[in-house]
Amino acid sequence: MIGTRAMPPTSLTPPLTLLQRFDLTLRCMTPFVITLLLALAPVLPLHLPHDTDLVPAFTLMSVFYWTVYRPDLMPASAVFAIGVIQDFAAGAPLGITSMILLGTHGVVLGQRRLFVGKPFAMAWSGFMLIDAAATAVSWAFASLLAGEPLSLSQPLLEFVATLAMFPMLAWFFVRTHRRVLARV
Amino acid sequence: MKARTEAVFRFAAPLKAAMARFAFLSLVAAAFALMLLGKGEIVVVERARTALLDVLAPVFDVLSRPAEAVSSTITEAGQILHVYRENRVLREEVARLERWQEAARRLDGENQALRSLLNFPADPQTRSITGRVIGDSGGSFVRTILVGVGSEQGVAKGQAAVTGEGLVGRVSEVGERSARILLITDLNSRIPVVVESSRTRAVLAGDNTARPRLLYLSPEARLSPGDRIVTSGHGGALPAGLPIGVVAEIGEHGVQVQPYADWTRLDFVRLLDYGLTGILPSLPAPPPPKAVRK
Repeated sequence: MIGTRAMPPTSLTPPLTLLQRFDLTLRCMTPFVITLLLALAPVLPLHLPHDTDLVPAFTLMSVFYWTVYRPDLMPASAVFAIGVIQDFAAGAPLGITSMILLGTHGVVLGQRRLFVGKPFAMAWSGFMLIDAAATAVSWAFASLLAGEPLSLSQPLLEFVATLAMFPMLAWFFVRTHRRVLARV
Repeated sequence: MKARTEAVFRFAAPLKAAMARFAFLSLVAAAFALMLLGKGEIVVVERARTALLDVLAPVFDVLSRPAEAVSSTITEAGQILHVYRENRVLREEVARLERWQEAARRLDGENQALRSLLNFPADPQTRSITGRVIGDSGGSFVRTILVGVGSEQGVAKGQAAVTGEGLVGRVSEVGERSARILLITDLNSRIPVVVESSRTRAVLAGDNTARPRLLYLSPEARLSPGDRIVTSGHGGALPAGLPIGVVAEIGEHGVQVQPYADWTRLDFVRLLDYGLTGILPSLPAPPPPKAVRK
């Protein structure tokens, strides 16, 4: 794991100044804020040519990464809130994303040791399993709510897109992790 | 002192773990409850949705502007390559449309004259509200857009959203400064339509693909690719005669309709206020505040 935890103030360390506390709080909020922005990003009208409405599961990647490497900064309540906000913003049936992200959080929290300090390929393949499960569950719930089995082609494409984009986002997360959270 | 701290830790650690597990499980339960609440179309949930929509609308409005600039630059760069060919095609198109315009003028005059002969009332005046598209649907299983106008500008639930080409959807949620439009391609969209040439009635149902399908066609209905599909006005939800698209394919999966609207270039939409309340009732008015008892 990168960085060291903030030690509880003992008689040896001087108490933090107000500015330092503020700085620390902001730094600790980074994973949440990044994930929140990733939840809102797909709603932006980009009008890309050959628009296909393909939305990689950005928040799933973010929740996975931060739960593995900094679970203290990605608590279950934050995961829940991000899911709700994402569903609201997308106009999607409420609750499904929260459920998926919480499930991911719960599973990953139990299996962290498999990924921490291991090569990236390990995290990637772990993410593949999570992504597959998340795709299946979200499809199942959406079909249930719609009352009929929905087409599988788009979820499958999104599964592939999400998997393909994971290294890129993970690289960005690692950079942020090292720069912003190195000593937090 | 040290022993005491250790004792506290020995108690606190499992307690903390149990609390975390409890919190986690209650959050999962809350997510499940939200799912049921959302399905039940409860007023509170809808109010929460529109309230959050209003909070997010300015954010999307600001963020969508640079996004739009980037995407239009990409599109323009692509268009320069085709400008000569397109110019030629457009000239031919203009020549063709001029003949149509002539015909339309003649028919309009004739229509007016015949209407006055028959004492047929003119179509009700419509007011339109133009809104900028500030958000796409960001989910796998929904097809909606957000526009930056709301009840303050007179937007109401059920109004038709059109572009220059044709119908794109109708208003499904209204905030004060923003509204969500359920596109005709969404799974939940059902629009009563007629085939323009044969006046055959049907219901246009979205299935989250780019081409919605026609449902409830009578078995003897005769359709061919290229037939124009327009709104029928049945159900009082939408005015009659709004163009939607053309029949694209008739196959095993039913009749697919290719909408006129260009989904990749939805920058502005017009919301038509026909004064029709339709089948999407707006929220009941909040009960009047009770008098304070003294």
